[in-house]
Amino acid sequence: MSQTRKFVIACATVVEEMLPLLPPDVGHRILDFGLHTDPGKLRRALQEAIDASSGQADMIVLGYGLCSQGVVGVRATDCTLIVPRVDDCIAIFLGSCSAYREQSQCEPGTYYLTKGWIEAGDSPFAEYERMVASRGPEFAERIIRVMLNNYKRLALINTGQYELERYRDYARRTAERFGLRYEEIEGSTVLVKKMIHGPWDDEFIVVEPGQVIELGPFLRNTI
Amino acid sequence: MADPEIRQALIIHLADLDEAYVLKLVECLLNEGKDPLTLIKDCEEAMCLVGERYEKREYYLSGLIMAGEIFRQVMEMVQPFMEQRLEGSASGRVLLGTVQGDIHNIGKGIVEVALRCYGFTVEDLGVDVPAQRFLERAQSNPPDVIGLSGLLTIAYESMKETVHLLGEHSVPGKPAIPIMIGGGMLNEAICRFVGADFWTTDALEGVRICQRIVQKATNN
Repeated sequence: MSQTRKFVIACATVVEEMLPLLPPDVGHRILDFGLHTDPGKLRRALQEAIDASSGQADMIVLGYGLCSQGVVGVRATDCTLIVPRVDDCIAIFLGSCSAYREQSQCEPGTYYLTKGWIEAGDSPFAEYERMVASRGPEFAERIIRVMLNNYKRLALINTGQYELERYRDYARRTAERFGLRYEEIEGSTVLVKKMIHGPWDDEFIVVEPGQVIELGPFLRNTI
Repeated sequence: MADPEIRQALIIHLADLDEAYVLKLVECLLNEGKDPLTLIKDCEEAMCLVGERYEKREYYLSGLIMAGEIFRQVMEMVQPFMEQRLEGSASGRVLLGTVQGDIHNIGKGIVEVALRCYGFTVEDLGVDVPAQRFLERAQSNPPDVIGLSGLLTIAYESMKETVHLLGEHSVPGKPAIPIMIGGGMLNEAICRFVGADFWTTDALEGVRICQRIVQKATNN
């Protein structure tokens, strides 16, 4: 029996966690991290990547969660789509939807960082630096205070996949600079491993060829 | 400048995030007795331009926030002039809050100012508000509309729970208090999931929904 051909399409931040665990025979494509701010654009980019890859795979694993509903509406005509049943990538880094819920309950005002998020430079803190350069420190300070209103904690997720020291320094300094409580929280590769190897159980949405990814199955988890 | 040119200047400078110019111009226009509703309409048009520039990546999130800050200040300046304009027309009471598990309140803050501007009395319960707290306040001082705010996906669960709890405790024989949900990522499907009556991603549209609700109740 021939082996199922898998292909991964993932956000630049999620792929950081997947690459060290990805078998050499599983191909991958990385999509721009910035797409998460525009669900319409993310949907179009995903659809284009799926269309381009479906001929070389029986199964495409999406390294995304619901992600502002950017995954809703995409389909693969001739292969199966697998997507973790999570709100966004934070749950992927923490290992499960329930781990994310636990963290959120413990401190709803948490800004999460990982290596991927720091390197992508698409956080309020990176935007602060851009604002200082383009509009001056007073403007930057005013806007970041609005952005971070009600945020209390900056949590660096340690998934154990890479050397953390450089990112730890950045996260700690950033927390101190903006008056947030710094915490390092344990991540997990459990969900990432399942994304790659299965089993694609209740923690995943499995979409048969020709079917679209719908919103409903993501929300089913929430009640 | 002629009126159309002044209106265009307001739109362009707000879209360009020129706070000092916009606030000065609004102050002058209000003192000259210009219609505050026209000012709000022009600001709304400018906010649409800001949204388009964000979509085109000409602005980052900071641009959206700055535009919101300017808009909020304009609404605060306009409010006293609106009081005269709205005298005698129906207004109402709105209970607002960001639901449990979510702490985002930028949009809610703009809705609150906009509602006050249009004569509504607003009670804001803050952020991370449990369903039980909404129920307690709705029971002790029944509003005309309940507004549940949230940005994160996790908020949908809390919104649903809150709608459910409020429904369970509705007073027999009395119409249920209409519930509107608001947030940047909402749509009709989320509204159906939550079980709310209305949804919006736009502060002024939220005001118009509340106005229609109050008008309908007054007519009945």
